[in-house]
Amino acid sequence: MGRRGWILGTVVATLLAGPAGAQQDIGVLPEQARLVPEEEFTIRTLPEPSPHWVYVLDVAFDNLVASRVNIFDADTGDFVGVLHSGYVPNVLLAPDRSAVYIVETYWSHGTRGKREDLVTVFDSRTLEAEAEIVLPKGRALVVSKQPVAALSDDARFLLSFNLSPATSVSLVDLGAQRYVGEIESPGCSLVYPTGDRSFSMLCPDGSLVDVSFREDGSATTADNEPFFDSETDPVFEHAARDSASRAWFFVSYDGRLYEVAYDEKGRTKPVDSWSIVGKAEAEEGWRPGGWQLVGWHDGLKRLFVLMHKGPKWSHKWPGEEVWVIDPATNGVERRIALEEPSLSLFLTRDADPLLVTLTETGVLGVYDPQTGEHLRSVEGVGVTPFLLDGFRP
Amino acid sequence: MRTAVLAALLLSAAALAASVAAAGEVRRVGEVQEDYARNCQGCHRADGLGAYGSVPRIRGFAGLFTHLPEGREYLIRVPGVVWAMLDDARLARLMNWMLEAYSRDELAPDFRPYTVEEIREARRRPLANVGTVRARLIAELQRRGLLPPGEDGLVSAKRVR
Amino acid sequence: MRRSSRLDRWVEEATRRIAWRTSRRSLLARLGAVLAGGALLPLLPVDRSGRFRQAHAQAFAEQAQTTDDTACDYWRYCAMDGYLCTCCNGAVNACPAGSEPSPTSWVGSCINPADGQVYLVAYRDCCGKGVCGRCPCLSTEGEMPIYRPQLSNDIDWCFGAKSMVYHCTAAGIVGRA
Ligand code: HEC
Repeated sequence: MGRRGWILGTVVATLLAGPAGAQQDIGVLPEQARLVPEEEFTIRTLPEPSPHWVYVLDVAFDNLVASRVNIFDADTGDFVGVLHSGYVPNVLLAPDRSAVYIVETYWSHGTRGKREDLVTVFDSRTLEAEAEIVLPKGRALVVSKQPVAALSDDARFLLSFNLSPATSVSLVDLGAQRYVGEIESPGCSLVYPTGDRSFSMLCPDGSLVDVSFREDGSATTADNEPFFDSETDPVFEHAARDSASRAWFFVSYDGRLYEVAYDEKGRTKPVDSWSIVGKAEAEEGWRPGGWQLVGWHDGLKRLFVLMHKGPKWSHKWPGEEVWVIDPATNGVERRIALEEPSLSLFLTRDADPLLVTLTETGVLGVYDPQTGEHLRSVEGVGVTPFLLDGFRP
Repeated sequence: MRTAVLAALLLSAAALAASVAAAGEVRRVGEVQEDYARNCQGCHRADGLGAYGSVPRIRGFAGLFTHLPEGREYLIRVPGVVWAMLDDARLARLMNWMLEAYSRDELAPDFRPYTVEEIREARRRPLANVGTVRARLIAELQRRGLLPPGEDGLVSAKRVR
Repeated sequence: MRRSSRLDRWVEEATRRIAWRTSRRSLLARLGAVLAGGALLPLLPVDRSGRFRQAHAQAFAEQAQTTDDTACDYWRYCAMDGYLCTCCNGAVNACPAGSEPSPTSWVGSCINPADGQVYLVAYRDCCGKGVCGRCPCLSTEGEMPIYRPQLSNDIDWCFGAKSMVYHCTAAGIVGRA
């Protein structure tokens, strides 16, 4: 009451003073009030992103509607910057290092109100939101997993998985910055790009469906026979890809490795598989597990898998070791014991790579992937971080 | 001390009696209802009403598709049916029961129950473009006057809890 | 029970940390291992898939209790996965004030040790409020990747609710199997 009276008084006073006050030259300050700033105030722009910068997605379980992407330099442990994001987002990095795409969901009033799903295009150096592309068909609301969204090989299109609970894929033209349309799916899930205009999805029966699409969003699908047993030993959603051969590597709960190769048309070729867990190791209970549990490095041509000792159905336990696998010889080449059990791992994409691991309490471990040497740990990279990524050099 | 133990015993006996009595009141569901509960109810609901904008209602609706030859096939080529964790015989029984229980009045007069062979064959050919086929069938049902315009069993579904 | 300082640290960490349906598992598992003196599985078996269902329901029932519905070993929670609504001032069959039950659910079957009967239980997410964060009960027994949606823990199951923001999970009886 008193406060309102005061505001009213001020408004009335301003109105009364109106015409005279408005005529005064407000540009000139009295001499004694002129404070010349000693320091100029500017906005930082980041340098060209280093391939050793790690983009850590913190889904923020205590407040899922406000997730964030914390950027850390794995060489120094320094904090580089942060991008704020919505509910269970997906983060994709442009191959030319120009942009960070965040596929995300908001409600107009935080936890309620009108829902909006969109792709936000952030400039990778100013960290400003340059564009927003609305996804009219929504997106799958799943605790963030990488294959929920992907870029086509030429990075012209962004593919975002929908689960409403009917399954489909939204196609976004990043070149034209517009939503193109919805590609239907026969009840299959996730997006594994296989070319410039093709991708595969995993079906409930353990098969892949191959999808090819055109720029207008029209698409054709081709079924395949199941390649794993989805009842007893399913493959993890997180998979790794060899950019040179374009093969996808899937790992199963019990440690079977499936190498899925593609022809130029994006059609699946017959699948090769073998177990990464030997008989003795199986008896000790070794199996793959975690969240983003597999990684690949194009130069080293090696697969990296988080492994732990545990019973069946311990597929989300963090890894105690990283096993380094050479698919050419089907052998486990090295076992790297981790400083701390970790949920996720990532291989930087440059010629001088780092193996980066992530614990559920937000500690990054940085290792030399070739020797297994622990180089450093970086604490406090997130409250409940799940996923890691980094730009190509 | 002893009274405490006795009291505890009496209490747990009472609790047991109460929960047994409660169990007596809980309806036992049949085998086919259980198949529905485990495989379909999560999305389509026990009352068959589906979820606004996300899952179509079965009740008072799904049977309409049997008026169209392509619609009969559509009903058993949708993902929820094709990928159900049931063998062909149980799935056939479930489909026939479900349509009878939730949508008898909408079934075509000449509707014949699905056969196991029909189900087996349809499961080999999951629909790749469910949404498109569904939209076409809905339009055809509306054209034939079997469905009022604007009714699609999905966004027309009432918000239910 | 005497608590080691190591366990205290874990407990503290466990209560401080917030997770939904996922990473918490390993922490609980480590806790479980400590409590059981190194024995492996904590008492959180779930199974929503055909093949493993019966065995896990049985194993769960053998260790379950029928009095405290704010504990993960309450008999109805044999396929529970999420924050217990009973700890958020809701109930086994009621959403906390201000949240909305999802029209959709997932269905499991649990044995009530009090009468030895099998019950069908519908697990329903309460939606439209931020995460409650109390009493996480998570299990990965029989849990499948999201390409088998009904058996996956990681999907927000608030389909058809006014707002799909996840709050907590309740467990209502559907019937007797
Ligand atoms: C994950 C959620 C989900 C489950 C589980 C599910 N359905 Fe569905 N069902 C849908 C959706 C969504 C549609 C709409 C078509 C589409 O896009 O798949 C649908 C459509 C249908 C239709 C066609 C009717 C129409 O209006 O399009 C039938 C029949 C059907 N379901 C039966 C079943 C049966 C029988 C089961 C159990 C064996 C089942 N569904 C399980 C989500 C589900």
